[in-house]
Amino acid sequence: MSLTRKLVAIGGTALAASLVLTGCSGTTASTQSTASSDGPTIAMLYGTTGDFSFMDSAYKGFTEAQSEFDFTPLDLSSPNTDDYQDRLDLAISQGSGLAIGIGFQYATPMEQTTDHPDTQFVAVDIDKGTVIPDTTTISFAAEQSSYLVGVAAALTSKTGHVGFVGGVDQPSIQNFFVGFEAGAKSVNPSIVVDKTYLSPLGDFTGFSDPTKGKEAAASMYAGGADVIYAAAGGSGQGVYEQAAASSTTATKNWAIGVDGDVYSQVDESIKPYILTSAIKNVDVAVKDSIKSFLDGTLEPGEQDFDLSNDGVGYATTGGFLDAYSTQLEKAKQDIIDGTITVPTTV
Amino acid sequence: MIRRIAVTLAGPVVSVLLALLVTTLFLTFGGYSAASAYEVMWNYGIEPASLVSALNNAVPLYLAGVAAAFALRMGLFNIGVDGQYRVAALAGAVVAANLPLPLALRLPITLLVCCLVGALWALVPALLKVYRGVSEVITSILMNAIATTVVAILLADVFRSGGGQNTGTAIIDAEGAMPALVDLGIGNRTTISGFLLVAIAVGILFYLIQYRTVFGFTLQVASKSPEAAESAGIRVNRRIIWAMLGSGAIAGLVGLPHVLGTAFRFDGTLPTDLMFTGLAAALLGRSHPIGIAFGAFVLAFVERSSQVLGLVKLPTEVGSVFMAVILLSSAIGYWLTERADQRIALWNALRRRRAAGRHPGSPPPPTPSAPGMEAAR
Repeated sequence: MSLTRKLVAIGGTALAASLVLTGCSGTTASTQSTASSDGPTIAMLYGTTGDFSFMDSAYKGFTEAQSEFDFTPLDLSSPNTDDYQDRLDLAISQGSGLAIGIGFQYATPMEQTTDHPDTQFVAVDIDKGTVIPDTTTISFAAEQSSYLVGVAAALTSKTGHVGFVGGVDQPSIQNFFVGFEAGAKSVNPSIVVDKTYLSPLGDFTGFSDPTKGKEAAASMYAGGADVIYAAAGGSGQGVYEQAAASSTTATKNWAIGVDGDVYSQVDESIKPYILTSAIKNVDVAVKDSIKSFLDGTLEPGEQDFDLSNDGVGYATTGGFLDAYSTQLEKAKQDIIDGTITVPTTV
Repeated sequence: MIRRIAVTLAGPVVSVLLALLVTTLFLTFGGYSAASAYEVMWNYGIEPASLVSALNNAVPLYLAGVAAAFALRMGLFNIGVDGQYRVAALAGAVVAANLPLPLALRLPITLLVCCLVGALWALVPALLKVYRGVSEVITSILMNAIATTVVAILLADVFRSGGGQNTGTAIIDAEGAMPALVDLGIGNRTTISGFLLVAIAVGILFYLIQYRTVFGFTLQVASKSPEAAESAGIRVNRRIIWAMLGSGAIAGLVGLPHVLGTAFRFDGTLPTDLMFTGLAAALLGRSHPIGIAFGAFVLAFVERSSQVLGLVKLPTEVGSVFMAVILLSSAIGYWLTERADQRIALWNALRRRRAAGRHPGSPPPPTPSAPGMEAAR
């Protein structure tokens, strides 16, 4: 009997405490996130921010669009990898006029959801050539920007030896490598291009482990490479730091960033070692789709973000590439014209 | 009897309450209204589509929980469920896509192959434990890392089908996929997957083996006291191997609901956190087949209902916090209830002894059972 009493006491204490705290006021659920907005609802479905690249860039585009255009945003972020369909359903049931899915994982749910008369779909970063009915798919030619930073790396390297640090050994990241290698070899056919991936296929820790990135870069710099291209999401930070750490007064080491303009994101002490960045304008893609949706001009079908429409590119912040701007611009023009075909893995 | 039921029920309830308390603290000190968050979550969670989704999502968690519990009842901590289900899911995806047989044959074969592969993957830690005395916790964690690499190599170089970013095996057609059990037809996506039956069957098998056979009893004895078991003629080493094989075989099924019901291939979307959530379900359900089902459903319900928080500008991390706290609080909750249970047993025994002392003519009181045996029942 007293057992039951004791259990009731324990449970009761927890319950009472919960109730007391629950009663405290705070930020309550807001059914209308921006009270003044009468515009249509636009949902963005994505993972979690804080990767310093892909997701952050998408989030940036979404927040910028909120300040520029009039619409009700629905922020559907989730760290889980098994609820893409749930989030899409949620966006539809909330009456979203537009649902933007960030990542190739949305290809299947958007293909399987055939009945969505009131919601337009945009899938960002889908493989080139994928056709999803009633969906706007956006693909990025990452191999093209990688080719250009490869050219920059080969022109800058004094040792004739450059390196590549990839996040995960998967086709989307191998694509950065083949472009980079082709670009470097176009300048110096005998250049040595090291490569390493921080984690194997299916293990995504390679995108969020700066320590591993730092170790990989340290061994490459020690092995003679003096420019390293980091296509490794959040792990890239370790590569940038190591570029500074491995440099001496006699030899300067460089790092090349990815997705965003890394030069403008890192600490002052590391800036002098960031040669350039291969840019992937995910934020532009998100913002543009929102704008064209609001204008009523968003059409289903494939949109390619490549060099020809500045969907991808390379950064010149810092001015380290000023001396090579003619070669780089020529390579860029040749790719746009089709004189150079960049290899790809996706 | 009533006491046993009270103790069994009180454990999970106290755990859930503790988890709610911590989550409430998290929300309150973060400047959010917990009441408002719970209300939004509850309202979304009890929608038909949410309940069906939670039920379907609870199935892999349940399988992972039962797999862990199977080893746990022998005192083994199979932390390799993770690797076992990923290797098995790859094998299952290949078999389901390529076997030229009708569904009625292909599906059972797929399930069997997955069990077999999962069991084989778990055999390595078992053998190392029996013959070299290496802790199964260490080896099964290491086997997870090996699984990652093996799956990566096999997927990239052998079983890859089609191009693109999403590396995966060949698509499984309707003759290889798990059919729907029933479509409730109350709104969008209210189809219950056939894997629910698989989960129920596994739960029943688990109960029969662990609670109703001599084998299950010998596992219990061997885990309580290996020396006593050995001298009673139970071969403890064999029990270790069988417990790990059983655990691995169940673990082999964990990835299949995704492969045969959602993605229709093995690819980059296979969830990788099923083991830990499943383990939480096993702890919450006290390794009892019905308790684990309850735990798995609660966790899947929280996971599903916390998705809605982003809509109303509340942190979606609430779900993750709740899950994490459940793991800790289920340990504390049981410790509290267990302690209370033992105290009561002692008091009752003392009271009986005193009562017996006052009436010398009455028969001697029954010996109170030892706490260890109490837990074993």
